[in-house]
Amino acid sequence: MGWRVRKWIGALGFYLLIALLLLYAVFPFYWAVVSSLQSGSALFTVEFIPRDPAWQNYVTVFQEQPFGRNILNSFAVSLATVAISLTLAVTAAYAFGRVEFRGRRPLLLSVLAVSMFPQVAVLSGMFELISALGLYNNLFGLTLSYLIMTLPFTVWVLTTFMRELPRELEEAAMVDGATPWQILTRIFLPLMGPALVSTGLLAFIVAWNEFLFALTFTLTSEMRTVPVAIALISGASAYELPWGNIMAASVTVTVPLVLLVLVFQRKIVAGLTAGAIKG
Amino acid sequence: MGDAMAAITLENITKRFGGIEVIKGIDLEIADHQLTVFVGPSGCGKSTLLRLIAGLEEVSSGTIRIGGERVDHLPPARRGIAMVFQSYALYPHMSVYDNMAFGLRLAHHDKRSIRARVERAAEMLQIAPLLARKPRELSGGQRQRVAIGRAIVREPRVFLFDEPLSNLDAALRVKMRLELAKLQRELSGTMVYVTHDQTEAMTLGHTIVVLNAGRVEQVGDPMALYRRPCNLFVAGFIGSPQMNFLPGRVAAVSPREVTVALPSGGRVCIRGVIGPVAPGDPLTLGIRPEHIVLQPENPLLSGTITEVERLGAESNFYVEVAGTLVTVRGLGDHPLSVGDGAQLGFDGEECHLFDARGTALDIAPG
Amino acid sequence: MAGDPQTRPARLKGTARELTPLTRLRARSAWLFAAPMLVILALVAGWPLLRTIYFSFTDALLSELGAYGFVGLHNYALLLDDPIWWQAVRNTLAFTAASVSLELVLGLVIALTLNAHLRGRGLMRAAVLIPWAIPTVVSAKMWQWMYNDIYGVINHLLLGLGLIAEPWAWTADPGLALAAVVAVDVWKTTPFVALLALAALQLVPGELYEAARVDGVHPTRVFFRITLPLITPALMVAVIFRTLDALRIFDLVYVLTANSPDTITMSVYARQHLVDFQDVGYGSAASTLLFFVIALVTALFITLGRVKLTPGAR
Repeated sequence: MGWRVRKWIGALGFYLLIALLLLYAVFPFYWAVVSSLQSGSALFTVEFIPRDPAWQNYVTVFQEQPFGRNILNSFAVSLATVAISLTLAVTAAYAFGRVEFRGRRPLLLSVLAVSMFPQVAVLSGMFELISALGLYNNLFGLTLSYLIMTLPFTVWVLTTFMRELPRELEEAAMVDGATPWQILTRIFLPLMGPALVSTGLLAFIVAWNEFLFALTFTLTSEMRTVPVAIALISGASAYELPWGNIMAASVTVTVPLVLLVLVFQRKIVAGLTAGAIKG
Repeated sequence: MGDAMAAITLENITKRFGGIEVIKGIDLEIADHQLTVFVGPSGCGKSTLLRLIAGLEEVSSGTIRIGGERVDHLPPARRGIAMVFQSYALYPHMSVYDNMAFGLRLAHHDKRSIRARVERAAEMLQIAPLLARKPRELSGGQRQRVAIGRAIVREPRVFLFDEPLSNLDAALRVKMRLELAKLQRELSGTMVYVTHDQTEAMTLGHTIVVLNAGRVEQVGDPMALYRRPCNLFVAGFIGSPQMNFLPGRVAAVSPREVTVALPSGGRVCIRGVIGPVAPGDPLTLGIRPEHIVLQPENPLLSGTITEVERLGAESNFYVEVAGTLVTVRGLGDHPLSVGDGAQLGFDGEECHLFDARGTALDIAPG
Repeated sequence: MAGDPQTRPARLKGTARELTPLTRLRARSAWLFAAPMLVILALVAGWPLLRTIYFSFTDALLSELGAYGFVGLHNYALLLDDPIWWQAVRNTLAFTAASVSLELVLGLVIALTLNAHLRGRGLMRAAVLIPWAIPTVVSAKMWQWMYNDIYGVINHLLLGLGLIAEPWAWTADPGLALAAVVAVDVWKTTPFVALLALAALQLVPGELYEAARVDGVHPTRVFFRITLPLITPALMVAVIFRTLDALRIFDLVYVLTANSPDTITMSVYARQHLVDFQDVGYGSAASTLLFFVIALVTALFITLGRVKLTPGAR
């Protein structure tokens, strides 16, 4: 019965591995939740299940800085970024995905090349641009700067989806007298719903998580987005960070994102992997 | 519908994709109020030719006229055509009604006339109860009707069909074929129909255009193509099972008839041959399976049966004669079976003769 | 339209395409459709990049960007003389090599696990996605708290298990700080690699495994001879994207260890000079060098790895 024992040990090892991976994936978030529920001295003793959970940290994080405003800022900027990116990308994707024209491939590759730009490489130029447009310390300025990160991949992913729509559908519409604009808006757009959701979600997450531009192009705490606000939470002195507040803020902004991910798991995965595996 | 003159004239049409010429200079008259079928093997250019007429591809050179008007520079919607696609290409997010109304709405027809036209077409195609449904809720045959309906409501001068039945199962295909024929009579429109299936071509077409490698091989009504194929390609393509081809040699020529010697030693006399033939010329003799008689009084060929296909009313016998396989159509219950020797005979009247280049020799009708 | 609009351009390469009137009309509308996106992208990406490169030859200051003088290659000379810059280069490369290779191995393990048909697979996939969805700043803060030398849960656990004798200063100790950053990055970005690898695994036809089993091939051999070669292209794509991301890492390092020289990366260095020291000229020189390092790595990947870029790769 040697092989049976070995099989059993193998299965045990396998599940142990899974358990370890799960722990590594989930524990930091769990620990943030636990810490956020502890205030005062309880925070500084390690308890894996809080004996005396308290909401105090969640209250103070909204009192000590305009955290509610920061969340609204993040929402506004992220939604605007998604809306503008999708609008610009979907028309471009029609051109790239459906029409054979001179210069298409070099253009598509330059769009992709932008996605490898390091953010600092455009920082000074972007700062100058945003100041010149009078958009410093302004949410519009942030939205504009975020397009450099969201446009390349939205164009790229939507082009992939656009390419997969059947050709005869477009031809039927041409016979019916539809212009390219009508083909896009009345035939393709309604069929691209899932693709738009996938790419829109990814763009939303990118914008919601962005830090460097938000840190550099905003000045006042009222204009900050959530990542900057959390990074800049400070205590009475530089050496006493209010960890309870920081964890409460972290959990507050992460929970909606985690829910989003759980609900739209499949769509996100589809967007992330679209086309990548065909290369 | 179809009262405007809508003959299609193609003049010296060529089409290149990249460096490859797929249509090599086609001149064709497609008659008004008729169903014309483009048929040929895959890659012969039949679909490309249809798409050139539709305006989905543009000609490399040559002109296309519909009802006398030059259209080769016009976009599809302004050519007065409607097209039924192989995959139907119904708009998946629209109801049947909206699918049919889409083109009319784009052309800014008023609501009432759109409704009237869609309902009339739906009535004609018996899809009126389906108007509110989405394409995914329809069966293959129903989708086919909607696709046709979408073409009808545009009241085009010309209907174009690109292998519209190839996605249906065999039984439904036969049924739709009959309906299409009936529809063509009712609409009396000009229809161009592309298929690779010679049976479909024979049953549907008033005129058949046989295409091969980017050229027109022959144009004619179905029986003309069957009786007088102008070359080996058409002879082999039209008719099922395929025509048998036997190598032969001219044995004797007289003013009234030509005698052909077959390799097996048999001789066939064919009357009324017009064309330059001299004794000793190599020829190909074509004879259709249905014109060969099994076990005749005066056999011309003899061989061994290698395969028998029983179709019910008739049977196909495959007979090996001096190294060539000859197909013979016999009665369903003909007693011959595999391994039996078979004597074959046929009448000179039923024979086709092709010269060394594959061109048919004209034979004056009996 | 010449030919099939779905045909990839590669297939039509080198053939004389014809420009018939309708084709030209269609091409013109395509340009019109792409134009708004191209204009915006040129504005927010092309123009700022050119300005940054331009600034790198000047002595511009952040406080008065309008007034500057040309200094030629002066900034670059200073940069190449700064030991901290070289420290940043070494850190960045070490970070990239360590995190990308760990992510690749771990991502593959996770993908293989998720690909096995076992119970709770959906739950596991969701759990794996959580780190990916958490904002980088937030994950940096969470880990900073866990890394805390006095109150941190990691030291607490390790002390409790007797693995260490006294608390370690994870983010302050020069020997540990970079490893601590790598651990967080691996935690956060392995899901991306795992998802790409999983998608590739799911495309491997099951018949191949069945055939191998019928032939009695050992599972390890099956993995290295069948599975791995088939998913290598997808893994290459993941590696490229992860490498390019790792080379420009900023958020995580900045939040976790600020401008500490132990972990400073090229991006952090450039921003410190640009913003904290207001030295736009010098900071732009550092940014420009980083840009060209990344461009070079991309070019190397594309030529050496013969990676075909098709739309959709992210």
